[in-house]
Amino acid sequence: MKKSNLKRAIVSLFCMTLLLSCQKEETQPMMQSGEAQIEETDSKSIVLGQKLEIPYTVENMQTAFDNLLFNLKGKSKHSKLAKTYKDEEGIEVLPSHYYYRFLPKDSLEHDLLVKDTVLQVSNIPLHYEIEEEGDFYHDPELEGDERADGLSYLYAVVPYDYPIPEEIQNERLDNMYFAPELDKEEPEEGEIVVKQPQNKTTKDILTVDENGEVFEYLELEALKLTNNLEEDELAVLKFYLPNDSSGMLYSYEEASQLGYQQKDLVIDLVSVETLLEQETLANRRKWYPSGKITVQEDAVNKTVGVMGAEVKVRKWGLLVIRRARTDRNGNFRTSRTRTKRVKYAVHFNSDSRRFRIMAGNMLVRAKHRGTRKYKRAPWNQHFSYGRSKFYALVHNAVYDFYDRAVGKFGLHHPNQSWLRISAKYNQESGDHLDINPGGKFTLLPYAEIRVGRLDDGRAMASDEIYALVSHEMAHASHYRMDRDFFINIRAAGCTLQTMAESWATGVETEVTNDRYLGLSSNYVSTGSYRNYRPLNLFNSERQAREIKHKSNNEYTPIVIDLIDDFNQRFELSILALPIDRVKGYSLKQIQTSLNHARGPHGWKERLKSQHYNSTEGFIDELFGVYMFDNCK
Amino acid sequence: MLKRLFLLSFFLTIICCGIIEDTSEPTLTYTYIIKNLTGSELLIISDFGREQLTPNNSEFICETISSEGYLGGLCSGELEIRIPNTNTGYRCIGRPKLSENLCFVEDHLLFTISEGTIFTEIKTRTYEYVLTSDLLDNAFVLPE
Repeated sequence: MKKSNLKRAIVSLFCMTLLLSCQKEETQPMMQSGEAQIEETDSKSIVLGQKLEIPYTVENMQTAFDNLLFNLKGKSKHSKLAKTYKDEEGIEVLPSHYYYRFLPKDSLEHDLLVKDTVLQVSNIPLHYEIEEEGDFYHDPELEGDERADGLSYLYAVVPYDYPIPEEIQNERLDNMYFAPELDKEEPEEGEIVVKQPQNKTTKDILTVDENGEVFEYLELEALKLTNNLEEDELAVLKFYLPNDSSGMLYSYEEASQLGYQQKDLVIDLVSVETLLEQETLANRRKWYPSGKITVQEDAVNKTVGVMGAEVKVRKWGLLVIRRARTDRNGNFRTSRTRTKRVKYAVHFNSDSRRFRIMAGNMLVRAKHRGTRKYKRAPWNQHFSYGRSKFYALVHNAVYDFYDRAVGKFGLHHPNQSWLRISAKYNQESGDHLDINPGGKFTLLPYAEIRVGRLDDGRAMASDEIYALVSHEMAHASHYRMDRDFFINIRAAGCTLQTMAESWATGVETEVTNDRYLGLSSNYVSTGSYRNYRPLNLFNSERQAREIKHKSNNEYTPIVIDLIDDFNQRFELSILALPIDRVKGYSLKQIQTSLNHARGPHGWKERLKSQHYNSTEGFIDELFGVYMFDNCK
Repeated sequence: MLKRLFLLSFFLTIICCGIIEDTSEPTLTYTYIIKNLTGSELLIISDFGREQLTPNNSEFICETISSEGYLGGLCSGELEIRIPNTNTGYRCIGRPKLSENLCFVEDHLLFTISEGTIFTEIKTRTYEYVLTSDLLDNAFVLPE
């Protein structure tokens, strides 16, 4: 053969090798352009309501402070605070925080922003009421913008001394001043400490008023100026009318009947003292933001906690002042705060387990924001329908895999770096596609695992969602245990895929049944096959399935059959079903033998040589049915 | 040149194929129809305790969701047919060792679509069995 012909042959061989060995990959790039469109519609857009009258803008806080000083030296000069401030001429209110919006141009910039734990960016504007909950807000200003799908503004309230990433397009929307919380509180269990800066204004105030008593007066005045005082405060406070030198005090109701709004009135600071005293007596000055996040497990009709999720507490929905993680029952509690009005949000991620749920889109993290403000009140949020329920169920399944499946069944930990699970509300089925063979760096903005809520157009029940997530997590675990199994030209072929899928099917079956029998001893799986044990447990219908020769059926029940004590040929009297005389292997033993196995024969022989089992003599019979003749 | 080509080939193979793409198993719906052509109304109980008064010339239908290769028959592994206003009928149980011998065929033949099944596949994954009038004559006295 001539040298040029040899080269041509090698090049052809090389091309064919790539084509053949990657045949399963072909669908992936082809899907991506279409899929981006689907992903865009999978998440739901939020509907904004009215723009908020924010009390904490520097302008408003300056007016509030000036009013306060004027009031202390005039109408309320007999108040306690008046003595402290009698010589004070004025303090300039400087921003303690800036309210920014960023517009990342690509996923790298986006990632940089969302990973910043100080910025705590939100993809939803913070200065608007939320009329309808959703996953993202697409700014009409960006209509026709040619950025990658899903890239939109990110909003953040940034400490004044924090260097923002200037290279990313940004716009300062407002300057804000938030009074600091001066009390040193020990963090509660599960709390993530949030640091708040003290700027020059704060330091100047503390020089005059070392206990910072003025801050609560200042906040009330700022709320009043923006018509944001609430009923219980208005019921206690007294007011002077503007330009009324009579010194007569009015209740808000009386002033309101005369046509005045909150912002027109002058607060009597003695009545503020009364209000604060009442709150002190009632032990209400400081309180613990807390609550419980739960989700409906419809498969067993039970309410369970959302485990290990992050809860953010934002002052007035703007500034993150507290962060905490829920416990296994969904409870969370932060250290105390003097901030009266907060908004809560739950973010479906876990830093200890290093995973995050994405809202069907690689750029939007799954979360649920409480739409209303809570005044010194806990947040008890139950998810019984919709996207948030789906995200919560996916979150719980992933968390439980780390916490229980890894611990109780001895499964390999599924990741070295962050694992991203894209939860697709309007899509089918699931897959695991790890393009991060090194395990340390994220090569592309792509979720390693994707799970859909639908199965053949039908919304799945909670146990089905749990099983689907566990199945994909089992792949992630297998991948991290034995990457060479997948980094292999044969990995996309039927034989190794049968091993991988059969393993994941077995894991899914064991951990799902264990989970739901733990929740209810009377558990009957969704889509149950029979009305008696064990055939009413999850995946039991697999016992009535024939794996036909050359069928390319990769989802065999080999792992289930190695574990269970159920001989389907005998129990169901169906001759086409396999004889299953093997029992008693554990998932951990099967995993140990799967590790480094590069074919069903190796897996089978390792099972026999690595573990003692009284039924191992029947393993050849079982593998013969499922594993050696199913591939074309 | 050749060395570079092999290196490139090796690198691309790892990048392109060093991953697993897996899609969870597609599901299929299996439908079972019991058609009443006995000439009388029957009370049919199956599909996890669902009771249905089934007039003559009508059907009791149930579904099982599984995948390719599923061989199970009528849903939930139970079928009870009661002739109204009598204490007679049939009780078929899908677990052979628990059979009460009160079925109109060998119990397990109702609960499979494999060899020996009494069902006829009338469409893809849709199976039918017709109850005929002779069923009424040979009914068993059922315990309460």
